[in-house]
Amino acid sequence: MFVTKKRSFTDSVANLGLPGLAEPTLIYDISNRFSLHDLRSRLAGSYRIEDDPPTHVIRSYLDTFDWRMYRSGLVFEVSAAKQGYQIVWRQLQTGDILLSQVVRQIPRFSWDAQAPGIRERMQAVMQMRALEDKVPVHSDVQTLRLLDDEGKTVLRLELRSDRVVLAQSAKQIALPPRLYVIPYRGYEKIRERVLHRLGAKAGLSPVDEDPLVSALKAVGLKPGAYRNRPRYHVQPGQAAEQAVRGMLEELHALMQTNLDGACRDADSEFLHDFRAAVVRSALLIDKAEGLFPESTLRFFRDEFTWLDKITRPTRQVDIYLLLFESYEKRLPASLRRYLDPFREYLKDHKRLEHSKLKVGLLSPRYRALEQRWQSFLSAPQPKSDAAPSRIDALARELTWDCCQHLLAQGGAIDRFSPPGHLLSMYETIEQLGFLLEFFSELYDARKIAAVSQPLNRLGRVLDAFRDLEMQQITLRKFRDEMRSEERLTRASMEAMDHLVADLAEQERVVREEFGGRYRKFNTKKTRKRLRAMFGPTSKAQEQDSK
Amino acid sequence: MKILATYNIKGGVGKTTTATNLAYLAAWEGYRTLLWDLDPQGAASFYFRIKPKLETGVRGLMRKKSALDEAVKATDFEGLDLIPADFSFRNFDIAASDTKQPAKQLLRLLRPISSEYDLLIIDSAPSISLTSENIFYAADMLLIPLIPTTLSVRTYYQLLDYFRKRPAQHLKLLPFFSMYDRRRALHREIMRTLPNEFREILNTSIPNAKKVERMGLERAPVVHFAPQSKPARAYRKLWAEVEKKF
Ligand SMILES: Nc1ncnc2c1ncn2[C@@H]1O[C@H](COP(=O)(O)OP(=O)(O)OP(=O)(O)O)[C@@H](O)[C@H]1O
Ligand SMILES: [Mg+2]
Repeated sequence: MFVTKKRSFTDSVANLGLPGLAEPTLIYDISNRFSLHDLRSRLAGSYRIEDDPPTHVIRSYLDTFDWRMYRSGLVFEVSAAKQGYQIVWRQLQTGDILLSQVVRQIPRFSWDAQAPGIRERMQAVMQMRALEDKVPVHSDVQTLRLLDDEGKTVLRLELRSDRVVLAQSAKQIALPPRLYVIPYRGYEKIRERVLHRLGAKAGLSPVDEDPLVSALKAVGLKPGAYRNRPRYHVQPGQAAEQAVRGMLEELHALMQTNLDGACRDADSEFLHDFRAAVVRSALLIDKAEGLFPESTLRFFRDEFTWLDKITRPTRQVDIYLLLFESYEKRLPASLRRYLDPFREYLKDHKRLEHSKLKVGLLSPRYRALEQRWQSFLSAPQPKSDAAPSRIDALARELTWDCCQHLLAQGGAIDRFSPPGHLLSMYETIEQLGFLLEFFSELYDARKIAAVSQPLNRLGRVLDAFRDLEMQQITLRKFRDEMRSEERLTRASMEAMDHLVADLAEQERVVREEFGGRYRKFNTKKTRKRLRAMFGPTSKAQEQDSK
Repeated sequence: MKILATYNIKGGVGKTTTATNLAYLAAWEGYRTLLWDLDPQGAASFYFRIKPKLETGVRGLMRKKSALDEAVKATDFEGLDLIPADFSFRNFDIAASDTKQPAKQLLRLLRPISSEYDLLIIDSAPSISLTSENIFYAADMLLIPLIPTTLSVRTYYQLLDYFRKRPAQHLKLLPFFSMYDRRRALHREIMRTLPNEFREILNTSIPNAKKVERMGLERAPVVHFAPQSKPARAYRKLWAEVEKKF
């Protein structure tokens, strides 16, 4: 229950290790006829009452893109206050308050919170994710304060008329007026007396849901509704053009879902998902040779390459911002503070790169691409005299090519091969992963698991290697840029070199393991399975796919 | 929970003024802050319009585990709570000396609520007693207002002398000049020379200012009702300097 029940606060948040601060606010539905004037006259005889001037407050509920607060049973409410922003962080179910205070800036990330205690608690819930506005509520607030004979406030009563305002549609939805009873710790008895006095006559009925829930219901928003994985609907026997178009449509929807977030830079996850869709689309376009007119494909190929290029630098800086903590951990405590200039550099470059990205994504060029892409995706099936190629055959052919390429690359790598060879092999196995993802519905789940397992195992080694190699290259690049921008002290340079050396050492270990791992992958059994699944059609398979 | 106490053997040096203003600023910065008015005179409680009264008195506080929790009062300011003074606290020494570990009683009392706050600020009465011994044991930092006069400085020597005999390794001493008057040659002289002798003296000093005296009329910290005044700015600077020592 949101209201009536008084429960031990520590019980309800034991899982988060969060201590409780204050008694929850109580909320009541009141009839429209009940006014502030009525309230005042009910209480006037027994209490000293002070009116605050009526205010208009914009309140917003913040959460991560994937609703981590909500899913952890928490509500993060922010409203503009006199000298900054009032934050109320509370339990969704009980209304118990974890944190209630005024801050100068709305924290978007856990590390924006000033006090270390809050910082850690936010971190526990949202990790490195950012908070964004979910439901803005415009509120007209009338306040009465009850004072004791010292002039100290002992209870606050707020009459709130709320409207949920949706930015996209400029739609406003009014919520019924409500009475908020805000207690002060140590003055609970007064609250009880006042409620008793009001309750009987005013016919107040307790509201047992959080205001966030009321607002969400009013606009029909479902928390937790967030899609970040494409769902391809490919059917065996489907015409290849149609199937590929369907997959591209799905990826396009994902791009659109994340475009706005990527432009606003609300959370690095938006850009990540946007790029994931771009990269996959580019691969499909590449592999769709022969299915669509060559000139059309060339245009889209160029434009998706361009998209990849303009979004890559921001993503790269994002990655390093996300890695930052792990970098600090790699260094001895005494060196950690010398990484601060690096963090500053990343933050500055993030701003710079992101502003460039935004220019690109809001450009006429992007709009033109978007338009052509949409009409391409929704175009009717071209009539063709030739028998349509089926997606099954195409899937097998593409996947088999990729497998053979992988085996050829793997076979050519020995202890002395340069890192570049492993990097190319990583690209192949990444591509293979995409292909399996695209076409997974075409295959028997059990059979596909039997080949994915060894592939994943090999993929992890290559991924680790590539990751470590790229980190070193990029860190060196950043270091040199920082030096040429004259923002690198000797100590900071040493700290960064220390990191690079540490990564190199780890890479060496992974590199040494590679040979053994590859031998484990490249067995007769695995090769046979790959051939059976994707190799040139045998009689049996033709039967299978009919 | 960090514990910060204002302390000086001498009275009227600005302990309460400092405790109340820093508590306000800490809460404003986002620290969940508790101010404990340990001076039976109840000046800090007065500044926050809270009656200097504990339902249980000091004896009840020592006996009942949840008594301190129940004594906490919200101030009118977000994030700042207060434990009011009580006249029976004159008897804290007697009550504490009846226990097994007389100097650890304060810390013991605090344990049940210590996870609820990031910062506890204690405003203490001017004396050396079992109460102050308890404060020294519990606190991480001691903020010591010094009026730059010879007499006031002498009390600092006394305090150092005390700690020489009873070392408190964990306790950081943070003396700073309070209520100074630039027009007085003696103040200027002491403020120039003393920091050479005591490196620990903070860089920030609080000037003597009429606005501070208005706290009794406004019944609020000066940083709240006159945020742009000279003493308010000085207190903000002092808070920033103290926060760095955490
Ligand atoms: N910076 C200042 N400028 C002017 N007056 C001040 C200043 N600081 C404190 N005062 C005034 O000096 C008096 C003593 O200050 P305060 O109560 O803070 O000292 P204290 O050390 O707590 O005293 P006590 O030992 O009695 O508890 C008060 O009247 C206060 O208003
Ligand atoms: Mg005092």
